[in-house]
Order: sequence, then structure tokens, then C-alpha cells
Amino acid sequence: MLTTVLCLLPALLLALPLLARRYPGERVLVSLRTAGPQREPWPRPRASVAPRWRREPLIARGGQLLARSLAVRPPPVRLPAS
Amino acid sequence: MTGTRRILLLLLGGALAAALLLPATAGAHGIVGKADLPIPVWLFSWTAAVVLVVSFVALSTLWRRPQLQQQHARALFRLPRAVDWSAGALGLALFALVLYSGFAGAQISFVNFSVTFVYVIFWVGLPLLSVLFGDVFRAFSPWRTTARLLRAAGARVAPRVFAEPVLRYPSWLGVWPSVAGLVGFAWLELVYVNRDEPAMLATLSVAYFLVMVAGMGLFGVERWGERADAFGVYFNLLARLSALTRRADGTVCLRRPLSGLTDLPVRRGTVALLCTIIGTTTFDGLSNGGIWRNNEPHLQSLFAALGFNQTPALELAYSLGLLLCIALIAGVYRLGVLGVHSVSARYDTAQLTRAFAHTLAPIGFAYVLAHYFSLLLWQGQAMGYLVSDPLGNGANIFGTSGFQIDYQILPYATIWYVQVAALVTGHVGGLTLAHDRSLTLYDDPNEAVRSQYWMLAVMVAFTSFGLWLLSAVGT
Repeated sequence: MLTTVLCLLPALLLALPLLARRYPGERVLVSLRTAGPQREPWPRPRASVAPRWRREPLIARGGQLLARSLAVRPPPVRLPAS
Repeated sequence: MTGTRRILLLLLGGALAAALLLPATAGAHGIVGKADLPIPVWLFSWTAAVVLVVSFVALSTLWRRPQLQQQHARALFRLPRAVDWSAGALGLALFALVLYSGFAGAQISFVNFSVTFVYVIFWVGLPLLSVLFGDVFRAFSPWRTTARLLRAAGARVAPRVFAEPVLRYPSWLGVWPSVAGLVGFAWLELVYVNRDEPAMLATLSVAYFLVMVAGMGLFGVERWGERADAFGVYFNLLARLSALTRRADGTVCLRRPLSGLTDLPVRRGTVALLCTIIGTTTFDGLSNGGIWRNNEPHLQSLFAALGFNQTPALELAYSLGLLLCIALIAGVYRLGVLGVHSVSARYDTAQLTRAFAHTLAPIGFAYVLAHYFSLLLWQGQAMGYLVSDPLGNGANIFGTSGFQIDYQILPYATIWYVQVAALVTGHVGGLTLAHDRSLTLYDDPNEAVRSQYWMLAVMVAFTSFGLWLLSAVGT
């Protein structure tokens, strides 16, 4: 019985502060996350000529898939530039 | 690299080293079983929790952008179509051997090819193969191959009739038929008293085969296979953990491990399917432990008092246990989702349930591997003599019928450490997926971090519970 309690204790110890809406170490985590140099993405070389066509993904995947499934209404239809 | 980051990486490395050091210490004492470990089992639970917490800290601070939401697949080589059909033919041949040995062989489970093949190679070996090499079952599936052959033959005779499926698969049904199939198979394996009868197993295999071929014929091979074929859906789900995938044109690609899960289509019943995978394995562990053995007779007496005979009362007690374990896993996941919902009201619980469902897949595999590793290791060797004598009638086709299982192939302690490592790795995988998904869901870092506290609690709960189950087996 004691082994059972001791085995399951880590989960209980973690759950108790969460149930009390306490998130131990949260501030430290957020500050560590936001601290440090924010890397800028590599500058993309500008294309000398505009692409003749742009391939649109036929099937939404990953984040796009999630965003579409969660969207209350779909994004507005992009009109061609006049 | 900043000092803080260096400290965090050191922490992560230290925790992993500690986890790896424990086996080394134990092994040095010449341990022969997990009951004789030099350190108490609960310490493994605590160490696993520490590894998860450190992983959580490292993910929260170092993993700042989603890395798994897009599949960056790199083409490796292309498989010829002949390989596809050859695999299908091999799958059909193995299925035919299962049926033949089941019906015509000796009705003794351990000398009949069908029982070991179905319960060990198919049920335990294929999940491992799927995680290592991708969705291999899709190529070997005997019912898929048969349905494709019938469809190809039909299309030659009456192209118009076979151009489109006869019926449209109802979307409300989702993957619920697969859930029913998996619960049914688990019931057969864990509850049904005559589960080891080869003829019964062969009969059920024929029935399943016919239902699958009929369903694929009516609703379309792929549509039915991706939703209603319990084994097809199950193995495909596990194959999404793999670093290997295969495109429709036959090109084998390399991708980031786990990234295949992020575009898992979460249909109706998908969460139930994942909970079923974990819950059935949980019950298998629980039913081999002291707590169940001490309490099951009371449950059986209860059903006996209701007028059931001994065998049905036993099966009802076990059935109830099986369903309760699935409900328990679903309940823990639901609690985690409710916790995540309490952080921000941006998404409702149904959306969050779907959004984090894929994080249960590595846990499911971890549970399966941890629980059945020894079965695969030992009973899998039985194929050595069963291939030479599949009917159990004394034949010696390949000259290996005298092969014997080596139970000392790995020390007991090593098996235990493999189980612990599988559980911890699987849960770290789940935590990683949850963290990556949270980055796409929440813009506010506070919300993202807070939501992951709850997922961490879920992962630690599943890990501790899994370790406790493993440690309780045979007590």
C-alpha cells in the first residue's frame, strides 16, 4: 500500500498546486522564455523577377489545419490585385 | 548560448544521466527481477517525474517556435509497385496460414502457429514495426489486398459500377467502428475464457476479414480502411510516430519523429480510440496485479448473486474492469483538458480535447511496449519452432522444430529498465507534442506555459500509474 502511495505521489504533488490555481515557477519560466536574444529570421534574398505563379497548398496541414478547424469563420477571400 | 540556457541544458543532461545511471547501479548488483531491485520501485516513479519536470522546463524555455506542425519530409527512395503487391501477397499467405493452422492444427495454444502469431507477432510485434518503419500493415493487410484485387477485377468487368463506392461512409460514425473493434479484440485477449482456442481464433479472423472486405467494397477501400478497420487505424496511428513515411507515389521519406502526429485527423471517436489503447493495456497490467486479484472475486460474487453462472460472472467482472480502465484513462485526460481550459477561455473543452488528442499516441505506444516487451522477447522466439511445425503435429519443415525459447536472452533487470525507459520516453514525447501544439494555440506566453503545467500533470500521472502497474504485475 505504501509503495502504491509513494508511486503515485509525484502526480498528486503536481496536481495539488494546480488545483489551487498555483503555477509554481511560472514567472521564472516566462522570464526565461522571453529573455535572451530574439533571433531574427534569416533575410530572404529578393527575387529579381516576380514568380510567375504561386503554388497554393491543396491540403491544409499542421498549424494551418488546426487554425482552420478552430476558426469560427473562414478567412476572407483574397481578391486579385487590380 | 546564454548562461541560463547552458544551466538548463546541464539540468536536462543531468536528469537524463541520472535516469541512465539507475540501471547501471542496479545491474551492478546482479539483479534477476524487478522485485529484487536494490532501490525501491517508487524511486523509479520519482525519477521519471523529475525527468518529465526537467523536460517541461527545457521545452518551455528553449522550444520557442513550433517545430513539429509542418512536415519537413526528405525523399529517400522510391518503392516499386511490385513491392506493394508482394507485401500484400505475403500478408495473404500469412493470413491463410493462420486460418489453416487454426482449423487444421492441434487445438493446443502453445504448439499452434495461429495463437502465437495473432497475440504476439501481430498484436505486439506490428506496433513496434510500425513505429520503426512506418505504416507497414497497410501494405500487408490481407483484407485491404483482397478488396483492392476485387475492386480491380470488378473495374475491368463493369467499370461504371466500380468507379465510385456504392455507399457514402457516414461522417458521424467517425472511427467508432475501430474503437469497437479494438475493445472487442482486447476483450477477446483479456476477458474471454476460451481465448486460446485456435479454431475459435481462426473463425473470428474469417468473420473480421469478411466484414472488412464487405465494408471496403461498399464504402471504398481507403475510406473504410482509415475509419472502420480497427487494426488499420491502430497501426496507422502508431506509424505516425515513425521517422519514416511513404507518399502516395511510393516514395519513402524521412521526417522528424512525432511530426506525423500533428496532422492526425481527429474524427469522431479518435480520442476514445486513444484512450482505449491505453486503457486496455492498463487493464492487462492491473488484472495481473494483487489489487485486482484481491477484489475481483467480490465482483464475480456480485454477478453470481444476480443469477449468472461462474464463467459468465467471471467474464462480466473482467469486462467491467476493462471498461473502467478505459474510463479512468479518459477521465484523467478530461481532467487535464479541463485544467488547460481553466487557463484561458479562448478555446472550449471540445476544441482542446481534439487539439491535444495526438499527445496520447506516444503514451499509448509506451504503454504497449512497456507492458508487452517481455512477451515479445520471450514468446516471439516461439516462432522459431512454429514456422517448422505450424500445426503442432510433429512436422519439421525447416528443421527448426526443436528450437527452444531462451528465457535468459535478457536479464530480468534489463527488461525492467527497457520498460521504464519506454514509459519515460513516450511521456516526454507526449509532453513535447503538447508543448509544440500550445505554441500554435496561444500567443500569450503565460497562457502557453500555464496550459502545459496541466499537460505535465497528465503525463506525470500516466507515467507514475504505468510504473506502478508494471511493478504490481505478479504481486
